[in-house]
This record gives sequence, structure tokens and C-alpha cells, in this order.
Amino acid sequence: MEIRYSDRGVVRLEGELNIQEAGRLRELLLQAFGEVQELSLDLEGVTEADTACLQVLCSAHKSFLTANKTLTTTGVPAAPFIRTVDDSGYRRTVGCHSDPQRGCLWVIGGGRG
Amino acid sequence: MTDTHREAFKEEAHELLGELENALLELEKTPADEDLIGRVFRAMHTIKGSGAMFGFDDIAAFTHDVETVYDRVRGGKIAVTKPLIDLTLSACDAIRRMVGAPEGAALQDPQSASLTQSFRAVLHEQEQPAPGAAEAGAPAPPQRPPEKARRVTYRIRFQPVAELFVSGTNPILLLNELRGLGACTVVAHRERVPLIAELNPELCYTYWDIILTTERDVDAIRDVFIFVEDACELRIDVIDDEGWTDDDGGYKKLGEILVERGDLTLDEIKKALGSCKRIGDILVESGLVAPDKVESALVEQQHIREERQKRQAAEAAASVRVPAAKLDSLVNMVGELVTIQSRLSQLATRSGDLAIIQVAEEVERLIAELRDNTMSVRMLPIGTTFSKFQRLVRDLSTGLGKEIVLATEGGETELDKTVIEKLNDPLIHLIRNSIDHGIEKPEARRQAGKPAQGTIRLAAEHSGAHVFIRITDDGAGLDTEAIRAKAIERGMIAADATLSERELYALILAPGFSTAKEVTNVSGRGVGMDVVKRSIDALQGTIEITSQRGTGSTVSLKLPLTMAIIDGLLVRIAQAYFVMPLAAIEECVELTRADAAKAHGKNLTSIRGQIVPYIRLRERFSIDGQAPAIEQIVTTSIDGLTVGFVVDQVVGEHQTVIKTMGRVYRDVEAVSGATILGDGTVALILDLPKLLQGAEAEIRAQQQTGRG
Repeated sequence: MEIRYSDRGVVRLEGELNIQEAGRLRELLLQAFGEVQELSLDLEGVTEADTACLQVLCSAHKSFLTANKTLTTTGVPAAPFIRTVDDSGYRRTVGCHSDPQRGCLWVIGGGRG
Repeated sequence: MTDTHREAFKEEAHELLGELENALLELEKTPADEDLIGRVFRAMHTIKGSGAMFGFDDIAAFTHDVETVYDRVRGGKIAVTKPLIDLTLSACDAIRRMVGAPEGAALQDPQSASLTQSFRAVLHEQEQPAPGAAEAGAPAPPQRPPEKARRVTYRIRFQPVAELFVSGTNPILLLNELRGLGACTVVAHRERVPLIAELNPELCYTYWDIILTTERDVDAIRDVFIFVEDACELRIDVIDDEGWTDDDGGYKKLGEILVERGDLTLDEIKKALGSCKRIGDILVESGLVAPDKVESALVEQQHIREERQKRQAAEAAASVRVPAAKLDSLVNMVGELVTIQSRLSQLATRSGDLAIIQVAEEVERLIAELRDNTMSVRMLPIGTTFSKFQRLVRDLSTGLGKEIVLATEGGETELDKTVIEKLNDPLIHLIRNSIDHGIEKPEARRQAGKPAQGTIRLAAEHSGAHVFIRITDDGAGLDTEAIRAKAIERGMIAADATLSERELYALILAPGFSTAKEVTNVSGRGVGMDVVKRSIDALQGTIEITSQRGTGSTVSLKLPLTMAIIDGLLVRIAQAYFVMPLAAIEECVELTRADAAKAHGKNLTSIRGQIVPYIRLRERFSIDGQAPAIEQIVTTSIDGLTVGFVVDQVVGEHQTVIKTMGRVYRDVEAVSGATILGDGTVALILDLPKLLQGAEAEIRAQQQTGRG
């Protein structure tokens, strides 16, 4: 997994998002959670993903929401990422109920896959 | 087993084989398409199953091996390759022969025996490293009974232990394996995922609800989880089994699902129902159930609804086979009925008796519906004919060393059954022409800067009461000079004649061109085009050819939707009645003598500022007598041109049963048929485009003599 920061609070995740990287991903997001109010994830460069990493992203989203902070995705996530979201049953048609905007990381690109 | 059943099987088999071929040809292009693989497998499976049922044991035995191979393809164990497609296409041919052959003859057919060997070889190749080889390769006895298995819907809750990932298990693989069993909806529950500070990224916090509809039994599902049996809680419930359990109306309510799953107690539901919101929202807001659980239950509801809808659709799609002759006689009778009905309407109006008029109107409405329904029964999508040509193009182009693909569009366009049947031969002819002479060899195409692979496009579309079918190729196009030279040589045109391109191309439709070998070699067209023209004429259709040297040609066929009944506008000139096809008509306006005088002898009038030329039908048909002071112009749209036709009186709409003209009148231009009116009078059906062409030609002739 490669991580790139841009100037506008966007973190770009590239390469494999799998269980081997889940620890690093958690650390990154935990750190960001402590530092920023808004964070945006760019998942266009993800080449592989698994359930472990989806859990980390989900957990981060919950944490941001609980602290009244914002975690969103930007752009269109890469196809392998979307496939994992679909395959693992993570995709949602309605967002998190704890989010006042009903936003959710798992409401991607319209309808259920 | 009666003969009718066997006949029914033969008919079905031919249809299935047709579909199978299409699926195979498409599969050749997209070898990884699981839907297509599924279609191939199902078609084989059905042929085998019903073959065995109707005593075609040889077919069942032969198909068995092919089916087994495609079962493996479906499981991803054998890849789709061109040789496999070729082999399967040959198998289709073999099955077709067996269907036609007397019983038992096929197994002795050396070709089918060698095909069987080839399919077994494919299986053996795959088997060497794979486990579970024991079942395969065994000779014919069909393993599964041909009866259709029941589709049962299961609800599976899969709660793995937290250490699932540590043991190296990827839950997605398990879920995908379930998806392989049938229609499957998966919802992950994430309410146990903690906040990021407390998260151990290596533990699995997620658990799943899976709704699966499958023909396999519960053991097949358990098998999926066999390696994680000790590392999960697994609960499998049957929630729907094709109406064998409760099937009264809709599926269970959301609350019932949650209670059944143990996510909620009945008391809690009742309390929550006290308020008046949607139950899902109430439950989540009151914190009784996690949102994922509600979503999961909703997904179950949706999944079952869809399954039941599919089942209903399948039941509704059940059809009855009727011999075409019965349909034809039905159409004939409806035709007679329409004629009688218009007579009844006329009599009723004349009698002035309100009660009778009312009945006549009711009858008219019903008969119009009956007519439309009867017509629609005879309508078939042209796609079935189109798809037959895929094989033709593939085989012919390979034989000629050309690379050609056939692209089709508008296959859903519906046409009268008889029209479709009669269209088959002309279309084959035109496609053959395109392959044979239109599209160049790959190297010639490359030199011309075109892609090596040629394309033939077959497109159909509706336009009013007509269907347009276009056959377009991106080949060499027509050689106008060669056509002209040949036409002059054969004395068809004068040496100095100036012809538009359209007229020039139309020359190749003349009978004389068909035998002219030289032209065929040079121009590439003209082989039997007169035959095509004759068939299309017989269908009351027209052919138009456009072409551009070097870039290709298009043959457009314009065909009537149906050849039996049309909606027409009945008009009168003196004592003669005519019918104009309603589809082309735009409006009717009055033409007074004063209006006509304004145009200074030219047949032009202004309608809302637009100049519209008109044709006086009274003059055209040389009908004696004086035109009334106020005439009617019926304006029509012909090939994008607005043209008016002047008549004495517009009588009204008329459902026109088309009767073909007798042989003597067959060549009368401008009349496409006749119909019998309610009082027994004959009205001619006008061919408006031909009328226009005739008038144009006359004007041109006048201008030329005027100049000369």
C-alpha cells in the first residue's frame, strides 16, 4: 500500500489494501482522526482490497461520525475496490443511520451491485 | 409416447439449437461471459433432459458429454477456446442431424462418435490435476433426472469467529462460492466493528446474512463452509420454496423477518408499531435493532419478491404452440369481419336509429381491438431471423479467407410473420453479396487504410406503418461507371442519358443484370438482385441502394408491417373511392378555386406560410367532370417531402382489408391494392410514393421537351 498526501486534505491510497496492510491503514487513519476535522480518501489507485481493510475504513468512518468529523471518499474508487465492496456484501443503498447526512462509504456509484 | 410429443420435442430442439448457436457465437467474442456460458449449459441441459424424456436416448447420451464439459466451463475449470466453440458448433450440427434422423441411426454416425471422443478428451485434459475426477468421463447414463429441480430460497447467517482472518480464510471466497450456487444477495453486518482506537485490524468483526435461491440442497451450502465449520456459527433456514410453504400474496413483513431471525422479540415489535412511521425507521431510531439488520431484512424481502416475480414471469411466459395455418385463417376471418363491420356502420348511420348506431359503434370498437390483437399475435421479432445469419457470415467469410463480423441492431423490431418468412431468402442473398463482393480481403482492406476486419451491419427499425431493414457493409462500394457501361451495352439506357446515382444503382435490380458475369466481377454486385427485388416487391416493399466507392454500400428495404389490414383514409373523387395509407398522412386542408388561381397555374399552395406542391388526382386519373368549388388537399409526408393530393371529398378513416389486385392490374403503377367498402364498392389503395414519382417524371419530361 502506498499513501500520498495532497494539499487539500485528500489521502490517496494506492496498491493493495489487504490484511497485511490493515495495521498500517488503521494507524494512518487513527493518526488522521486525531489531527484533522475533515478527511477525504482517494481510492482510485487501489489494486486489491479485502474485508479486513473494509472493516478498518468502516471503523474510521464510525469514529469520525461519533466525533462530529467528516470522512468521505473522492472520485471513483478503483474497480477492484468496488468489487470487494460488492462481493463482501458491504455495499449499502442507504447510508449510516448515525450520520445525519446518511452518508456512508458504502453507497457507491448508485444501485446495488 | 405419441408422435405429437416427439414432434413437439423436435420443434423445441430446433429452437434450442438456434439459441445455442447464437450463444456460442457470442461466446466466441466474449469467452468470459458467465451469462452466455450459463445459456449454453442450460440449452444443452434442456436438450438432454427433454431428449431423454421423449425417448431420444441417442441425443441424450450424446449431449451428456457436451453438457458435462460446459458444466466444468461454468465452474471455471475449463476455459472457452475457439477449438471448443468449433467443436460445440459441430456438436450442434450433429444433434440437428440426430433430431432429423430415424431412431438409433445417430449413434452409428461416425462423426458424432468422434465428437463424443473429442469432448471426453477435453474432460480428460482438465481432469489430470483436478480433484473429483471420478464422476467424469463415465459413459452416458444421465446422472441427474431430467425433471426440473425445485428452487428453494435459504437464509444463511454466517457468523465467523473473530480469528477468521488469522486462520487465512478470506470470507469473500466463501461468499462467491455461494453465489455460484444460485441467485444470491449478501449483506454484511458491521455493527460490531468498533471505533478505530479499539480496532484490532486482524480480527473479523463482520458477520453476514445471505439470501440464496438455488436448486441445490442444503448440504451443498454446508459444503461451502466445510473448512470453517469450527470457526463459525452457521444457521440455515428455508424461507421460500416455490410456493410449497406459505405463499399467500406478498412476502413476510419486515418485522416478521426480524422476529423470525431472533433479532427482535414480538413484544418489542408491538411496542414500536404504536407510532406511525415506517417500521424500519422506528426500529433503528429507537435503537432496538442495528441498521444493518434492518437493511439485511429488507434485502431478504426484496430478494424473495424478485424471485417470486421471476417465477410469475416464467409462468406467464408459458405459451401455446399454434399451427401457422390456424392463425392465417383467423386473420382472414377478422378481415371479413372488418369489412362487414364497416357495412354495418354505414347502414346504421343511414337508418338514423340511435339504438342501432350505438350497437354499431360498440361493435366497431371491439372489432378494432380484435383486429389489433390478431395482428399482434402474428407479429414476431425479426431478431430470430437476424441471428441465423451469424452462422452464415462466420462460415462464408472463413471460407473466403475474409474477416467479417455481423453487427445487428433493432432485433426486437416486430414484423408480420409472413413478412419475416418471406424476407429470409432476400436477406441471405444480400448478405452473401456483401460477403462475396462487397467486403475486400484483409490485405486489400489494409492497403485501403481500412481495418482488416470488415463489418456488415444489419439494422431494423420501425417508422410508421413500415419497417426499414438496412444491410450496410464497409466494403468497396459499387462501381457506377461499370454499371453505366453495362446498362448502355444492354440497351437499358441511352448512351448520353443523365441518371442520378439512385437511378443508376436501381439498374442493378433489373433482370438483365443478373447473368452479366463481367459486371459481377467488376462491380461486385448484380448477382440475382432481380430475384431480391421480386421478393421485396411481392411483400409490397421497396429497395433502395446507396453506395460510396471505397467506403461501402447500403441496401435499404422498406417493408409494410403487415400485409393484411391497414388504417387508411377514404377519399372520393367524383364517384370513385380511394384509400390512402393513414400513416403517411399529415393533415387535410381546403382548396378553393380562388386559392388555386393565386398560384398562377402552378400546383402550389401555401399552408401556414409553407409552400406545398400538390397533385390533382382528378387529373392524374383522368376522371371526367367538374371539380367541386371547394376541394380538399390531403397533405402527406413522403421521403421527408410534404406533398398534397387533391380530392373532392375526404370521407374519413377506414380500416382497410387489403386485397391484392388481379394479375391483369398487377403492373398498374400508383395503386398498391384494393379494398371492398361496406356497401360492396371497390376502392383502390393508392401507392403515394409511386404517384409522386410518376408526377415528378412527367414534370421532368415536360421540362425537357420545353427546353428542346
